[in-house]
Amino acid sequence: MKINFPKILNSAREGLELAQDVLSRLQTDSAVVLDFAATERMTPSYANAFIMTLMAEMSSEQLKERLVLQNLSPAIIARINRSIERYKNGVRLSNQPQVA
Amino acid sequence: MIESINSLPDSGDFSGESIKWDILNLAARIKSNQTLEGIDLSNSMHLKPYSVACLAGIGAYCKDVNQAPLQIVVPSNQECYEHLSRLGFFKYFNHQYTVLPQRKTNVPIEQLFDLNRVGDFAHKAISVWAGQIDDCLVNIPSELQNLLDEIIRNAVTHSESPIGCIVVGQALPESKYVDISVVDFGQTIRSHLKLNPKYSCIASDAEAILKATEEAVTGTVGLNKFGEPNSGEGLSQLRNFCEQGLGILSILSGDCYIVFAPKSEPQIVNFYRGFQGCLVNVRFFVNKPLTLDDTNRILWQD
Repeated sequence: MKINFPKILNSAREGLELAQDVLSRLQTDSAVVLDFAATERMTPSYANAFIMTLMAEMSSEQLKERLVLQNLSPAIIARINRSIERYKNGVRLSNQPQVA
Repeated sequence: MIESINSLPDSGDFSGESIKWDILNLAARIKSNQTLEGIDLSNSMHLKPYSVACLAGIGAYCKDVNQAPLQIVVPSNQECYEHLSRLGFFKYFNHQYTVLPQRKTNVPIEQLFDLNRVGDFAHKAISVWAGQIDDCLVNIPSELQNLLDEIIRNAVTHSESPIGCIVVGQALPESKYVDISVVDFGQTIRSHLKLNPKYSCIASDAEAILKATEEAVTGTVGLNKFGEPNSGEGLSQLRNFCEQGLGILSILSGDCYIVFAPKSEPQIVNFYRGFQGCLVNVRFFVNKPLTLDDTNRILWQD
């Protein structure tokens, strides 16, 4: 299953919804492919909502195997990696259990 | 009562040398000012974005909330008058005005109430402002678009402002920077943060502003009013950006403002009138290199 994205990704709600959609699809699909070829920028709000929601439900190994992110610009890679690092450092979304 | 704005110039970067205190003081208490009937700008020569944003916000508040549009005495200085006119300033007041043709270098004052137009506005505005500066480095505009996007989202989401937020910007090509101001007349940063029990003990507006610019600090518990989770990165990223040497950030809320400048400790300045809302003013230096993480793989792919 492949999803294409628009030029600007800046809504935390959309990031949350995308993560929920991906998680739902991975219950039946072996993998999900997300193509960011058309995406010029991604805000921290979007990236955090998307990545942290995924990481709360799946391990890094599972995400590496089953979630394919294609055509990422260096800036968007940096943005996604920043969200991953924050999650690994204990930062959580406001709707997630907080790390003490 | 007609409030006259003096002709003193201002630095525009909240450096403290000269700031339009008369405008800030007027904006600070607009929600409780029942006697204001108009503003006299006849002596105004040049108004920085934060001044224009505050004045437009005052006009919007009186027009939309008080249902009593203010009179405006326009600047005698023709250049100042035309600048304000091209920004669409006079629509916030009870004033017959001629709409001057927009220039490609203009971005009219924007008033935003919800999140739907934030992305497109930030994209267009930064493209126009940064596009005027020859030495603007190639990866700067998208980063500034993200930062502006986040500043506006903060204001629209957290402020509970009856006028939404007002955004004004200006590029200064000779000086290689872009000034942007976002103002709202809602709750202070302290009031918002204290909604989160983790921060209920915050005792001052200065403490609140400093806390709000730290990593992972948010007043949101659960989802915010737009159904979104927050994680407290926007203002801390903006502060880091400026302290790295890429800008100067000033945040005014409640009884103080704080300036975050390159390679210096935050400068806390009292604002005794007390600003009922929040003003975020940023000066972005668009010709300074931005260091991006050069990893070309997603971390969990390693």
